[in-house]
Amino acid sequence: MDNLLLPVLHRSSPGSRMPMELPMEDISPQSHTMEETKEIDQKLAEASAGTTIRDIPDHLLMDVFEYFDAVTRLRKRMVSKEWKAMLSSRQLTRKRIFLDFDMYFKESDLPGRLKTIMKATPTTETLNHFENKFNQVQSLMSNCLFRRFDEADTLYVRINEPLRTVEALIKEKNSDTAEKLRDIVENEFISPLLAFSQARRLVFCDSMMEEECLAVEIVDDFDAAGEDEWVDVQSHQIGFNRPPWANSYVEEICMRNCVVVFEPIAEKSMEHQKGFVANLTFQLETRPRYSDIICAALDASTYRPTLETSSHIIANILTFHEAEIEDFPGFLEETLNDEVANIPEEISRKALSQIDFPSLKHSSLYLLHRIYG
Amino acid sequence: MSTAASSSTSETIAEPGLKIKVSTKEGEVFELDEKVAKMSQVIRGILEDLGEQNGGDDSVLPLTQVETRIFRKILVWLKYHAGHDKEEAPKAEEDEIIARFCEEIPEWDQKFLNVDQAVILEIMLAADYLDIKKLRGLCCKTVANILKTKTVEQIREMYGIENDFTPEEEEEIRKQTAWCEDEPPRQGSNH
Repeated sequence: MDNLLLPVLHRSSPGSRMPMELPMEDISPQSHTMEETKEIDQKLAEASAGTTIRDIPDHLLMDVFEYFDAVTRLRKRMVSKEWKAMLSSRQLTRKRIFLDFDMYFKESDLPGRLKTIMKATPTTETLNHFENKFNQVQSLMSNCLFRRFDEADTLYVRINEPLRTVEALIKEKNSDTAEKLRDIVENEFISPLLAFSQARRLVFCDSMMEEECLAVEIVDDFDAAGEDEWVDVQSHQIGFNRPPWANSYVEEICMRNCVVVFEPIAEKSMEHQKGFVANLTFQLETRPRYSDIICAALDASTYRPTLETSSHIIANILTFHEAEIEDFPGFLEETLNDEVANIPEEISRKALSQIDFPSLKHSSLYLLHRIYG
Repeated sequence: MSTAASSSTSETIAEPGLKIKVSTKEGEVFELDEKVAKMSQVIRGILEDLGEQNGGDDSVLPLTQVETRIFRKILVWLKYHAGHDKEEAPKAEEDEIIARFCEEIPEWDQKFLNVDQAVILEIMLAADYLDIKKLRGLCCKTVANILKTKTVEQIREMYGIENDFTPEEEEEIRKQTAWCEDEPPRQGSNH
């Protein structure tokens, strides 16, 4: 940074080149197109040939490394001692770790290996074999990662590709897809991932896992309350079981479409690893899969949504419900009627595109109730 | 087709407004639309410090660390984004991080940065100097994407970086990272 002096304004002095003496550059918007820059690029390449990454100051190189996922950071430490120091820097690792399963999955050709296995002997044993392989890989990965990154506050995980491949292959073999996939997600990916992690937040970036790993279930005492009481419950903390794969450090799980926050609970009142979902937010950019249905929107005890926000949320849910009814005629009508009773027509008919999604974020408490069709 | 696009762009940002003059390291002077110029936080800051009423005179903002050849290239980016970027509400930190990791570089920007690595590095330096965060981020991400696909040996060769590990140190690191390499570590390998 030392050599990067900030510009200072100066008036044209006698010794300087006066602006008006120069042919003024035509830089009107239409003067340059991408095609025209090819010539610029050619000249640039010739003139810039001597510039290498060694000319990049540390703070910029750190910015480059920020885009590395955790595995890449480990791999590239071998470039030089300087890189090793920077890639191991607490500045990079202290708070957030990005783990790109997708990249590693592709690089290691696990899909190819899996397909070979399945093609040769498409049996349960082969699938188990693959799971074992996965298990080995993920355990190694998590062991290595979290011995070094155990201070990470948040883990960002991208894990679409492996799951899609596994799902497709399981479907192909006509297995019990949902169950199998869920087992794989829990046992082969997430549990090993969290084995040494003390991260409080787990963020699945654009992951297909969503409902697969959100095995949040309503605890017994709330179940016992019955459906009829749902819409009447106010200022009531809803008890959810913590997903079995989430270790005790995890307080919040984000899955793009929803955020689950676990609040610590009194030891005396709950069983092992249960927590309250204090804030389960849906952005609802896409419909939940597997017929999951948002059945009710309830006020959290610590939060009072504004009327406007609340209306938006309800409108959002209604839109979703209306779509669902087509698939399950009659099934939702009763619940829907309860919920829509007090909603003005103009809000209930509001299009999704008109709903102010940003205002929904962290705005209220929802109850997610899984209904398996 | 491209004419229509250019015309549309022109309409978008060719509104009458202040013109800002800047000079490059070599002293060459460029006149920019205010909107384009203010995409640089450095220029914006200076203009705000001075008061915008001064921006229309013959004052020239010297960009003493930016060479003309790089500035011309950056101008292409600035003008395109001045005309096409929508005013976005500030993203939450969470969204920014996910976008950083998971969103692909837009096609136009990919083409823009489809240049020699040395040029990307120079653009990155200039964007950093001019404090154009978005462009700097795009450059960093592009370089990171390039580095990801290269082996350690390729990176050393590409950038002329000396392997300053002793064989013992190298072996130790290799053992630690062996699990994430495709091939098992070779005994006694010497790079």
